[in-house]
Amino acid sequence: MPLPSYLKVHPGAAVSPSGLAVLRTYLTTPVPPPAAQVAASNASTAAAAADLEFTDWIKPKTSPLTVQPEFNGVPFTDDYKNWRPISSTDRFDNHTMREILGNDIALQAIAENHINPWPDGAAFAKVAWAQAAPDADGMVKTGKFIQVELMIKDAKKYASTDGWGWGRWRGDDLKPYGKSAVFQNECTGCHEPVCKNDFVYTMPFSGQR
Amino acid sequence: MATRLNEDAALVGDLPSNPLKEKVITSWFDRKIGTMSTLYGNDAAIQHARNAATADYPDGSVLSLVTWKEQEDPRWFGGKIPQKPTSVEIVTVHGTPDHYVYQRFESSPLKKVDERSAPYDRAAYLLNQRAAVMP
Repeated sequence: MPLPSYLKVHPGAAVSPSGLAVLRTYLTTPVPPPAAQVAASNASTAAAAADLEFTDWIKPKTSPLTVQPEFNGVPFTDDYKNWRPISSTDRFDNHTMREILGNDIALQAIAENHINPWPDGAAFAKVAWAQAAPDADGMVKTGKFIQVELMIKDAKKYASTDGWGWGRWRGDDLKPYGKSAVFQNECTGCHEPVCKNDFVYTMPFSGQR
Repeated sequence: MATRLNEDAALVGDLPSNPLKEKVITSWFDRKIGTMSTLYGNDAAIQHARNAATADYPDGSVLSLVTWKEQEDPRWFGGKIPQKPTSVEIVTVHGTPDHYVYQRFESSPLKKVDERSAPYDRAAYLLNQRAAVMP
């Protein structure tokens, strides 16, 4: 939308409510699926890959996966999968689904409604999967694992990156996303619009305790 | 957008156990009615779900499915987040793997409802869901 300062000089650039409705409908209407045959073939390839990933994941492991810290030094923590739910998202814009999990300090902060700023030690994991093709009942289940992202609060230690340590590990081998510490500019850049929420997008539900 | 909790999405009502204290097994969306569901499990259930592809959960496993109506994410155009819960379903495994109790809770506040049809089918459906991969 045009900024108010721009509208002052160019009042004709204002977006009417009906124009806005057109834009909104255009953006929220799902993209028409590809031809049935192509869709079916893509879906079966994706399903086969997800099956393979699952079978591999449940195999007994002789040693835990070794995961490198992110390039900014933020460590991975294997325990993320045991953190408790604070929300979930249906990202229909990029065909992913996410669970957002919080560690004990985050849950305590939610219980006390002390979430702006979040206390040091609070940490979140956002786990993302592809959305599988809808099944016969129209249910969209989790497809392949895409990534897990961590946000770890430490106002002093991470002062230069808005008080949070940021990390993203992709694929079932959990490869750090960065190529150098510069990657974290992407994280802070994308989270800037929620600076008034201590840079956290998630609106957590309460009641974990 | 001020910082706040998603109060609508809280589970209010008379539940025998609290699904939100548990860990995530998997999740799904129902595109026809616009809901999002997450399946949670207690430690016994999680241990099984993350190491096996079968529905024979051990004694003491508790699986809970929370289903929310979806709402647009006010902070991310193109995403949806939970609104009010529409149902909570709880499957408790007792003794042998195919002996279980299914309970369903609906409306606001959540109240136990009588099963209209085939609760065992629904319980079996939940027990047969594959865990989402979390490496």
